[in-house]
Amino acid sequence: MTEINHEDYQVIYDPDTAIITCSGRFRLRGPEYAPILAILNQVADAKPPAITLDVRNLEFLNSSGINTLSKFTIRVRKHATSEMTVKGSSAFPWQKKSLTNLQRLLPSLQLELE
Amino acid sequence: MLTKKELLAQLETVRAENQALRQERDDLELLLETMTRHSDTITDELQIEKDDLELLLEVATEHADVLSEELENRAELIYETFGRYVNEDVVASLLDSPDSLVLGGEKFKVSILFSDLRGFTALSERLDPQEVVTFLNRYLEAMVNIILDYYGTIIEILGDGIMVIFGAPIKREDDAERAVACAIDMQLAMNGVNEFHQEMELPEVEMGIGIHTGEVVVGNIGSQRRTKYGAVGSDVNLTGRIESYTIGGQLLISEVTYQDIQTALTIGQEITVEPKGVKQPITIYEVLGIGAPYNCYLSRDVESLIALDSAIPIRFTVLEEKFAGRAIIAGSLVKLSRREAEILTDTPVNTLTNLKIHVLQADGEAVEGDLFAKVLESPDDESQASVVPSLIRFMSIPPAIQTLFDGLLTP
Repeated sequence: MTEINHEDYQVIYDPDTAIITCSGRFRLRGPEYAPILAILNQVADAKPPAITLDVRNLEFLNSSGINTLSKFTIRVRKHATSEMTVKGSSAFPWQKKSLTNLQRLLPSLQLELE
Repeated sequence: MLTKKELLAQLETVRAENQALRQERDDLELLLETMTRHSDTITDELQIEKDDLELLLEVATEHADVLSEELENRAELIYETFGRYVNEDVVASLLDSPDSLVLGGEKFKVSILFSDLRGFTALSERLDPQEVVTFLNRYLEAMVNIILDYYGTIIEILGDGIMVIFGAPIKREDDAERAVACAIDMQLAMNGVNEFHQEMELPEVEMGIGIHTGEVVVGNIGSQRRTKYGAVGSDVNLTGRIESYTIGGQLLISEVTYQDIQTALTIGQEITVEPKGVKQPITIYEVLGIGAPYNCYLSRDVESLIALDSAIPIRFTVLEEKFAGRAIIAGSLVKLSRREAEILTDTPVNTLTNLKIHVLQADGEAVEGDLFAKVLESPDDESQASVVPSLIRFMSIPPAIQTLFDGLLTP
């Protein structure tokens, strides 16, 4: 289990299930995303058959944040070894549009919006 | 001339060289092909990177659009909810830190301020509607500006009554202090309001203010068709009761608010009351001023009572919660000043109760209009005297009684 716990947000990666859970509010400045991107890259490079990114409780994501998730998505596509699923929530208006956009980076990406 | 053997050997050498050259050519071709392929791969990869970068840019741009749209909606909501009722700085800081804003409802420790004009209802019945509106607008404009200057959030304006909270939607360290300083400034501003009233030949009005501090639920309250930023809780009700103990020009605060204030307060009376819905008697404080950095002080006119040559008979009822009690008590008015009087009654009346008084003429007929007053001092219930004196303060004086009093007070 890999975790980042911050006052505003939390990132948890469970290697057994290959589920990454992001919650809270991502309002970091660009370089501050480095530890989060490191976890994401580690997951992509482990090349599990299926990767799940759960952002259902991620209330807010700034532009540097979407950039981080996009880079991760591209990395998964390049490896071409893992199926990727993103779980989102329509309770937060940004998710519908921006998570759909991740499919443009990885057309096989499964998007599940609650 | 070369021998046949020599010629054959030379041919063999050329053939070998040819072979080597061919090999080299094939190798080169292969190398070229490999390099071309490799270069194609690199070009492809570069192309992919370029496409990805374009996509990344698009995704990020659209995400930013979504966010700014959300922010705009939020800004609109904030202005809609608070624009008229909080200081512009509060709106700006809500926009800066949307995290601090919970519209759904949240418990906040706030200082609650209730203000009310004395005898306004009775007065509004005597004025024509246009005068009432002019009167209220002038008064409310003066009060609202002061409240916003002290970062108060106006929750309700009901006729002449104003309810304000300090501490939500944005909490500050000095919420209780600002509430008290604001109240004193509001009282001081009543002088200006009354000067205007004199010009307009409107009667003088007085305001009472009560402040209490407690945990209340604050948020957008209402139905789908109409919601407003409101505050509910027993501490809101208690503030209303504290306000009801005030006389004109007075500011009363609860013990909780008093304890919450670090700045030096000038305290007048300290009163113990038993408001409805409260189990234990509570102490309330009359605030006459607050020290630095506010330095606001109320000036109090001291009026001396004039003993009347002959007592004026009165009949009165004790008001409970805006409804008059049934018992009619007889008494007499023996001393008088512009705002206060001493009455004698054979039934004791409790301090801080409100009285609705009829002033009687010599023939036993009542002078037109109801005189409203609050009991300031009365003897203990233990007092065995058959006739007890009480000091009362007028809240609202109807014109006919005012004329009568003016005649008695003018030598």
